[in-house]
Amino acid sequence: MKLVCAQSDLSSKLSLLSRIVPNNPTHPVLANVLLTAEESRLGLSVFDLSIGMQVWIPALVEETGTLTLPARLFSDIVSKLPSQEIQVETDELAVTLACGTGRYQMQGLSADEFPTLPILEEVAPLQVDTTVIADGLQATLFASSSDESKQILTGLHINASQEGLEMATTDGHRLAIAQFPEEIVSEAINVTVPARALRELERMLSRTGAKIEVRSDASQIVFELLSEQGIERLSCRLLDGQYPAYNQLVPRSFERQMTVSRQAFLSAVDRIAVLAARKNNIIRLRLDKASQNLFLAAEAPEFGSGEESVPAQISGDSIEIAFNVKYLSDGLKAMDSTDIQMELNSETMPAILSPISGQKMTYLIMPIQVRN
Amino acid sequence: MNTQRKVIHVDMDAFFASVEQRDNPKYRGKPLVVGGSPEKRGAVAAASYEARQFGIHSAMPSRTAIQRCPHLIFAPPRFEIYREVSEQIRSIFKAYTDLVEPLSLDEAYLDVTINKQNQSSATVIAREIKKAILRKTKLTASAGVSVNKFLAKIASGMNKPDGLTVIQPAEAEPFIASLPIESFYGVGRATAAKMQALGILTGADLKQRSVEELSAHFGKVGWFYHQIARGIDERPVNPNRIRKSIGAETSFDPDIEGRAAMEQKLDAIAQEVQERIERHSANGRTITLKVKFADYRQITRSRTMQEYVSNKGQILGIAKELLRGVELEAEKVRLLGITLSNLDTEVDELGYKQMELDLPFEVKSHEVFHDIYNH
Repeated sequence: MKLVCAQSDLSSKLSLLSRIVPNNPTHPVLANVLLTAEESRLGLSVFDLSIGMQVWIPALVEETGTLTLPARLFSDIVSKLPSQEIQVETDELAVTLACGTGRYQMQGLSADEFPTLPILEEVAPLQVDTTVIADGLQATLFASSSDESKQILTGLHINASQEGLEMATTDGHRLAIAQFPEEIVSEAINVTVPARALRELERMLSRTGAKIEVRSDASQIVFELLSEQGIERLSCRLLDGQYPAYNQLVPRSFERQMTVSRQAFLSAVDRIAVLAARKNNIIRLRLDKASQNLFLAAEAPEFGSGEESVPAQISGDSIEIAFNVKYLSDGLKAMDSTDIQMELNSETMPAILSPISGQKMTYLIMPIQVRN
Repeated sequence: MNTQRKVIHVDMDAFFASVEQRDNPKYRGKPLVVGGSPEKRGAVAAASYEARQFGIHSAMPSRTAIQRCPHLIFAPPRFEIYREVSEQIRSIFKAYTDLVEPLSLDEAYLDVTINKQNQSSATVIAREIKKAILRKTKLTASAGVSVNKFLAKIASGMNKPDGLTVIQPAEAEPFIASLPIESFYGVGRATAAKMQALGILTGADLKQRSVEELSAHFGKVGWFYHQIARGIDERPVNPNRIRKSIGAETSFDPDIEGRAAMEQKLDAIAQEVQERIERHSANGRTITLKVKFADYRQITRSRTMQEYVSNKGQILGIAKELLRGVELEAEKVRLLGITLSNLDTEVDELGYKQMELDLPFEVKSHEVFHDIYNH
């Protein structure tokens, strides 16, 4: 293998890939990145047996070839090199990097040992706009659980059918659903994908406008993006088990409703959060019908207290309800509508936040019950 | 360094019934139960020692109780009074240690390894506590003293009423060896039957089984059984334990099938849940039904109500409704359980509570988590 590529291209892709490389791999080769030099491009792949990623960068290839290199070491070295051209040359399993004034040698492992990433060639792909996936991830990924004891909740549920595409996450305290009724598919998909993999996918989706192809079978899902150099791919093992039937948890009727400026609400929440974080992250909301104001407050006895008010359109009786301030700000940040609405019944029942315009989203939060 | 712990388990004698006898001199020395009347299909929440001689015990239907003892006195429960007495007892404990873990209104563990009175003898402390309880409440308690919770609890049950029993570390092993398997903490009727079928009749039999074998038969609790067979119980006395749920479950051997049979079992389970709720004087808003199938697959279905629920009728009604939502076609069931959570006591103790979604769950056999060790 002999090639020249740009340090900036190589470094940015390696930092993306090295997030997937396992710390304690079951096999030494899994700590490595697979390099594939083809005509005018260099492929880079990593695989931890659950998540696999393959990306490309442009390169002047003099000699094609394949090899694997320790991913962390390779990435650390490249990230510190000056933003110039890097010459990569191999001699058997030894690799020499030359860039600016530096020369580095590393020992690699044969590419033959590197496991093949799943491709699911035989499955007909579902084609979706990159923006659909990006919007869906932004609207839901944050609400997935990090509690490994309820594995299925550490994933994001994707349901695509003739009724459209739906993405959902829940951690048991809140539930985020993004709906794309116009994305109709003939072959239904019903899978739960680890959120960890999708966070990596989100990083891959920097370019807009392109299509993304999604293939899945009973145990794997593969996302393919077309870049200038070729197909970039993220594959992932699906989470086992049945995702909870979350739709039945969304209330259909509400006694109270509020419409409010998202930005004004979020700014007030962020300010109150400073105090709430000092105690137990509890924010108290008061929807005051008479004054048509939303009041937000938090108190931390040893530190102080604060109150904010935001004008809002409120229907139904006045109510006081408390939430984890983080849940509230997470949801408000994930929406892009100018105005949002909040629908609720009582101080111990779920509340729904949803945007008035833009991406269709339902964000349900369970309140915090507070002693009088 | 001496790392031996000193744990006391204090258990009030026939608590509810004794309070009623204390406050109503005409009830003293007579068979009495606290609970619902037989006409209203009630059940026994607590029985006096005089009533126990007729074979009457808690959780028994009141109708059965009166058949066994026609002149049985029925006293309606007065939970406010029981709660007050419970507070008095806890303040006595607090004079010795803050490491008090209440199990219910009438029962608590104390870790007195280090105590406020600098008293090196846990037996002396137990005696003083019993005396103080009698002086302050005119009620008797039984105490068990040992090196861990498991042994202290067994000890307190050995000489009831008004007992004080010490199990020294050296005595623990032969004592556990002779203990019948059904007397082990956490071993219910179905587990006892399963143990007996495996030839485990006593603590000695249990001790001979490997942790692998016990885990294969009983899952994660197998490990706990393996430990307690050796007198080992490292669970700390946890004063901050906030009870998050109250429940009851029953395993069936053989498995049961048919909705009618299951609903009948739910009736008895709901009854038990209600009694436990009363003992903890708690109310809850979420009812969870647990169903374990013959293949160890387990599902849960929950519903949260606007208002607090505490009576059997409501609990049973919701549990049956949840069961109606479960596909039972040709399924055999080995366990049913009902749990009440979102308790008002939780909000009381911490001041607040993050509410949870009622997510319906399905768990595969190998993931079924036995949480007995934590309870």
